[in-house]
Amino acid sequence: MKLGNLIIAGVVTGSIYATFAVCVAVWYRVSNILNLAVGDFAMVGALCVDNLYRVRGLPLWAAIVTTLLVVAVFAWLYDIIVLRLAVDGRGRAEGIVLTFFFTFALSFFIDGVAKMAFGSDVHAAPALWNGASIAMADLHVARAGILVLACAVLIGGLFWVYIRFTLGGKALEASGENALGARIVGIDTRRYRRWIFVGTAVIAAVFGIVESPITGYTYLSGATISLTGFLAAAYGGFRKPGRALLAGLFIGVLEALLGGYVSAEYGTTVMYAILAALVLAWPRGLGFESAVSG
Amino acid sequence: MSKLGRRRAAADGLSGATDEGGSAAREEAARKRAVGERGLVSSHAGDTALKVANLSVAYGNVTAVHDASFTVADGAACAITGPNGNGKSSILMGITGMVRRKGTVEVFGAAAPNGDVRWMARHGLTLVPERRQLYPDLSAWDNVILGCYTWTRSIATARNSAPFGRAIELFPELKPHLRQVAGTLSGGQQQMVAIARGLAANPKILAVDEPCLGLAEAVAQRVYEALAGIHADGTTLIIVEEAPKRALTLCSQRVEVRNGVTA
Repeated sequence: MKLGNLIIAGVVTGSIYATFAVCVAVWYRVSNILNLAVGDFAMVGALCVDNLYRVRGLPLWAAIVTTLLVVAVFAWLYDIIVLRLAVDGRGRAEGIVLTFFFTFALSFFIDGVAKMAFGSDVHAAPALWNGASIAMADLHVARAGILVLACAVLIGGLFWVYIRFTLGGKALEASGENALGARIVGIDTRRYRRWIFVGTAVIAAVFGIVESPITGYTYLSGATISLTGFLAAAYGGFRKPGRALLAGLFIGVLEALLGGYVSAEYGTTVMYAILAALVLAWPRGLGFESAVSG
Repeated sequence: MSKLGRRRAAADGLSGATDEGGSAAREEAARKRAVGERGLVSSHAGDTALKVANLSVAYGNVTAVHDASFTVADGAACAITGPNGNGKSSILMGITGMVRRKGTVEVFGAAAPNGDVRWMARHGLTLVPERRQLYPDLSAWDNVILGCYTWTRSIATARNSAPFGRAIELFPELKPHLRQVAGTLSGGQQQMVAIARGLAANPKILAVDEPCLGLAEAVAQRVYEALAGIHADGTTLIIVEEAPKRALTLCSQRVEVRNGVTA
């Protein structure tokens, strides 16, 4: 049952990519900025909890709460200081500078601070649900994996309910569809930009905390997760969260299968090659055109 | 201001408002109308719904509107007319804050901050913009109910409210299409959705920019019937129209914009 186990592992990683891809896509719709720092927030979540719990001796719950608060406050400050100056000011940044530059810089900044604070060794937050992996027939699921899936389903479900059944959620969609039309009915698109960014950072940190017992994190782990989430969002044209979700799951499973059947060492490289080939083969079908034309 | 702007501004022939005998009955209806369910506007300052003084709008070095001044009485219907490219829409954009302006704008006596569309929406002036500016991937129903966002955050309150009820009933022919994605509706249907969204915002002043642009005659008639109905209920109307003929069947007041900048 190697195949089954690989698919399960792939779905677990894929659900993280999917969640991050949805976060990237939703925020891009509202702000026209691609969040390249989403994985770094996950890394901070894992390493900060580890540091507070293991090194500084805080109780686990206090370490988690403190970490999430730090991440939320940092994201909020970043928005009101950097993004407000860069995007809302009179000398408004536009085009590719706006789309990539600020979050790219943020990613490097977070990595640098994390290296100073947590060192460069592999660490992980303590497992929240201890015990051997759960076995059904020949299939094995790590307990942390179940928690990751549960988080993904819970967060995705709450978001779906918010979009579908609340006026605030519809207003969020409206600001993504037509910023001008949104302002006409009094929707504050800047407030959505701020709170989705903060929410994304916290969600990423939660996933980092829950997932890190499986893989372990260094201060550089964030960039890889960001890249994969970013790619999944790209397959959804950056503006279609539903497609981004499917793409995230697909990439997760592909990664696991390549790692299992092709090469554990070069699996990721082969995966990126396949993804690049897919983009070359069907740029329109995969939604890249809508990403380019905005 | 640039030389070009100055020259054009000098030639600018924005005439003052001329009230051609406003309907007393309409104004009475407007007075009787409740100040607003939201209570956001504390009181009507006299009978003036909108007061525009020395409004100028420029895009870079090009002046589109220069020193426009006029007032619109509460419950009146005002047409802003003039040839294409003379700054009619720019006046409306300047008033609502879609573009930055010089000069002052007062809505029911309250001075409007510059460049703040949301303030306008919350204080009772709702814009139905040119090219409609709908949310193309949302359903028509979603588009209309989002008009309620100006005064509530609760979808249940919005759904059961009188303004939303009025907006949904405004165009009975839209009913079979309410679940349809707005981007796939015909131009006429989209215009109906845009006006319904404006009405759901429970406006005291509804400003409509070129409501019949590109519409078939029969549809344009329907749009005007609906606007007449909204006006009869006491809402102050401002209509921007290139062709004054149709607008003046409804509007008793006319602001003529001439020799503006063709930019």
